[in-house]
Amino acid sequence: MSEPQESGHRIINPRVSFLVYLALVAGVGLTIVASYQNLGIFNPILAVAIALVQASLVALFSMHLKYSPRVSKLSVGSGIFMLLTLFAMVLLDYMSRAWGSW
Amino acid sequence: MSDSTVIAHDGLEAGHHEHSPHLHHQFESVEQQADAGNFAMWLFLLTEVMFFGGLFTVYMIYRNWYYPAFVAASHQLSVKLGGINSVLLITSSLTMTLGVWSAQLRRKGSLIFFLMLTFLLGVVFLGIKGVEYKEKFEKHHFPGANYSLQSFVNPASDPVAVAAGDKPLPLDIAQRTEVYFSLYFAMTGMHALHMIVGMGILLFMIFRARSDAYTTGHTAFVEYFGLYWHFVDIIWIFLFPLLYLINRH
Amino acid sequence: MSDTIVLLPDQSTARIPKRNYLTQENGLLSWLLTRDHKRIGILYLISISFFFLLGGSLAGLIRLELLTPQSDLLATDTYNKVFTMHGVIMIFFFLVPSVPATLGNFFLPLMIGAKDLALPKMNLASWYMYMAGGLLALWAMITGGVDTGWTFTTPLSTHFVNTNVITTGLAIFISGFSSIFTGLNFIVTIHKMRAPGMTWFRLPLFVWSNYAASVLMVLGTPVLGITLILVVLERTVGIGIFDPTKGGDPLLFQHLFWFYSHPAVYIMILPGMGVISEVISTFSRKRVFGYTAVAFSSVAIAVFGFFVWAHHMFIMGISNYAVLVFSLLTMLVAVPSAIKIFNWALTLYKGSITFETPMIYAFGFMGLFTIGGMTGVFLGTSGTDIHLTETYFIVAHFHFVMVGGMLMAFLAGLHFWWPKMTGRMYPEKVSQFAAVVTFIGFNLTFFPQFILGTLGMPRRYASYPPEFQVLNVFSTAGATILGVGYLLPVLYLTWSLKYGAIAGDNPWQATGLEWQTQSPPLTENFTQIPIMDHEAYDYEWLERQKEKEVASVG
Repeated sequence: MSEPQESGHRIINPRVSFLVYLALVAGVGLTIVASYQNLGIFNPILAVAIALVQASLVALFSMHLKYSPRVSKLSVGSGIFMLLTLFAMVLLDYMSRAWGSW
Repeated sequence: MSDSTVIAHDGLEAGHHEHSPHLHHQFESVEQQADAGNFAMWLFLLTEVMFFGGLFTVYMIYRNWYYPAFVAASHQLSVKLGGINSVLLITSSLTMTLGVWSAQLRRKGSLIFFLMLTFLLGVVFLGIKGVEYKEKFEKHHFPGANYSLQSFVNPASDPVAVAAGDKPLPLDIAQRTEVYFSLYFAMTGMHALHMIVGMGILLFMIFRARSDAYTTGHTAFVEYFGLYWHFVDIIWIFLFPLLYLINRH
Repeated sequence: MSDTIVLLPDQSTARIPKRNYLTQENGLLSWLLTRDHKRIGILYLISISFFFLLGGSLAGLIRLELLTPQSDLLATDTYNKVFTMHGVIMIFFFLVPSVPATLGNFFLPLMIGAKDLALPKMNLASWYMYMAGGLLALWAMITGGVDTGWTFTTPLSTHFVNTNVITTGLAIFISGFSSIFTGLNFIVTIHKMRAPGMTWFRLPLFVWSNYAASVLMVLGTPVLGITLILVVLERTVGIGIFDPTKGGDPLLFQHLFWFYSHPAVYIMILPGMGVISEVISTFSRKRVFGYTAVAFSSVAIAVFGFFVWAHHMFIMGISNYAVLVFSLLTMLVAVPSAIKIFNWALTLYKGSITFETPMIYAFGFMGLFTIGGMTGVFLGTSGTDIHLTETYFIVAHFHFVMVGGMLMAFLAGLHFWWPKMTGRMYPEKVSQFAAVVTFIGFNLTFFPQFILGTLGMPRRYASYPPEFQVLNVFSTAGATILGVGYLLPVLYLTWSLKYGAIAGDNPWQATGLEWQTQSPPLTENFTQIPIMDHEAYDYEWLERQKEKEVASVG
C-alpha cells in the first residue's frame, strides 16, 4: 500500500463495481434458494452469513472502505463491537431468564 | 492495487492549498478536509448502525420467543416482490457507484444519467413496497385496532396461507403475529424513510449537477451521499432474509 | 498576594483587545448564523442556563411540596408532572449538553490548536436542534406536561397515562441529534485537526474526557432515538412491540432505554472530570499525576459504561444470572473513577495549592463525587439494591454525582475559563463565598435524603409518613441555600461582563494553548497555527516562555 491511500480518495474501476454487483445478485439468488431447503438450524445461520458477505462486499468496495483512512475502518469496527455488545448483553438476560426453553 | 487508481489532487498539483476554491477555512489542506469529511460520514453511518441495531435487537428477541407466529406471518410476504426489490436496490447501488465514478472523471452527462437512474430505481422500489403495504392494509395485517387474525387462525380462508401450506395456529400464538407485523412495518418503514430522504438529496444533486457543481474536481458531496445510499442498501440486505425468508421450506 | 497565582495586567493601562470574536461582527443575525465555535458555545451557554434555571425552579417546587407530609401545595398528579419535567429538562437539556456544548465547544479547538471544529455548519445545526427540542419540550410542558418520570417506562407511558408523552418523546428525539452532532464533530476534530506536535499524549485531559464522552454520544444516542420512536408509534399507531397484551415485553424497552441512559450519565460526568483535571493541575502548579492513567481511565469509563446498564433493572424481573453479571460489571466502573480521584489527590500532594474559586468548586467535586460514587457501589450490589432502589437513596446518589459532581465541575470550568471567554475577571471574594454556600447548601439538601432512603422513604410521591418530616425540612432548607448559591454566580458573572477587572491573556498562568492567545480570542483563534513542542501541563516551559518575553522586551 502506498502513501496516498490514507487520503481515502480513490476511483474504483467500474469493472470492480460490476463484479461486486454480480456477486450481490448471486447472493440474493442463493439466499432465496437456500431458504427453500430444509437445513434445520442452519437455515437462518446461512441466510445471515450470506447477508454478512454481501454487506462486507458493499462496504469494502462500493463504499471504498478498503481504501479509506484507518479511523474510518475503526469506526466500522466500533460499530460492529457495540452492536454485538447490545445483542449479547440483552441476550444474556433473555437466555438466562428461562434456561433451556430459549 | 490494480482495481483502483489514485487521483492526483488539485491541491497537490497547485502546490499551495490556498488556491483550492473548495478548501474550507478551518482546514490546513485538501487532504485534511477530505479525511475529516470521510471520517465524519462514517461516524454518521455508525450512528445509523446503532439506530437500526435497536430494531434488530427487538427482532432477535421476539423471533426466538414467538417463532411459530413469525413463520406464519412471514409467509404472508411475497418472496417474489421482496426478491425483485433486493435486486432493484442492489442495482441502484451499482448505478450510484457509477455516478460517483462519473463525477470523479468529471463527466457531467453520465453523472446526471446515473443519478437519475438511481432515483428511478428508488421510485420503483418504493412503488413495489407500496403495493406490498397496500395488500397488508387490505388484509388488516397492519398492527393496531383493526388487526385481523383471520389468515392465521383459519389459513384455509387465505390463498397466500394455503399456498405456503400453513396450519391453523392456536389463538394465543396467532395473536403474536401482530408483534411480527409491528416489527415488519417499523423496520421496513424506517428503511423506506431513509430511502425517501436519500431520494430528496438525489433530486437536489441532479439539480446541482446540471450547473457543474460536482464535475470540477470537488466530488466529496456525491461520494458521501454514495456512502449513505450503500448503507441503506446494506440494511435491506439484512432485512430481506430476516423478514421474508423465515422457514420457507 | 503570596496566597494566589493570579497575574492580572496593570488595570490602569490594560484594555480588552479591540479585535476579538465578540467584536468581529455585530447584530443578531451575526450570532444566529455564526459558524464560529466560540459564538456557538456562548449561544449554548445562554440557552442551557435558561433551562437550568427552569429545571431548578421545578426542583424548588418539589422541595416546597415535600416540606409537609401531606400533598398540599401541589396535587399529586401535578407533582408527578413537576418531577418529570424537572428530570427531563435537567438531564436532556442541561446535563447532557452542559460542559461539552458550552465549554467544550468553546475550548476544544483552542486547546488542540485548531481554527475551528471540523464541521462548523453541523455545529450550528446542533444548536438549532437543541433549541427545537427544548422549545418542543417547553410546549409539551405548557400544554399539559408529562407525568411518566423521565424514564418513560412502558407500559405506563404507552397505555396508562394521557399526558404529552408523544410531544416530549419527540422533543428528546430531536435534541438527541444535537448531542450526536456535537459528539461527531468533537471526534472528527480531535482526530484530524490537532496542531503540529500535538500528539495524543500531549492533549489536555479535558480533550481526552470530551473525546470519551463523544464516543458515548455517537454510539448510545441512536438507540434512545429508536426506542422513543417505538414508544411514540405504540401510542399513535398501536404497534405491539412493548405492549404485554399483544405479546411485547416492557422489559425490552428498559433494556434499550438504559443502553443509552446509563452511558448517558457518563456523557454527563466525563467532561466534568476533564474540567477538574485542568483546574487541579493549574491551581496546584503541577502536572496531573499519572497523566496516561487519567487519560485512559476516561476511555475505560466510556467502554465499561456500555456493559452495566441492567443494574437499573435489578428489581424489574430480569434473570438472577443477569443480575449477577451486571452487578459484577458495575463494580468494575468504580475502578477507573477511583483512578481519577486518587490521581487528582496525588496531583495535590506537595503542590503549591491556591484557593481560587474554580479550585474550591473542584474540591467540592472531589468530595461529593466520591460519596456519590461510593453509594453507587452500594446500589450496584444486588442485595442492597433491592432495599435501596426506588427510595430517596437513589435520588441522593444521583444528585451527589450529577449536582455535587457535574454541576460543581461545570461551575468550576465556567469560573476557570470566564476570563478567557469574556476578557474580564469575575469578583473573586463573592464567588469564593458562592462556592462555599453551594457546598453547604448541597450537603444540607441531599445528605438527609440518604438517611431518608435507608429509612425507606420512596421516591416520586407527593406525600410521606409524618416521621420523615424533620429530615425533609432539613432538605428543603438546604435547597433554599443551594438556590442562593446558584443565583449568586448568575448575578456577579453578569455584573463582571461590564465591571470585571481586565484579565489579560493568562491570569492563572496556566499552560494550555487556549491561554497562550489573547482574551477574548480572535475569531480565527490564533494568528498563526501554534506548534506544540512540550508536554501538557509543563509549568517549567511556561516559566521559560515568560523569561524569554522579559528578555526580548527588556
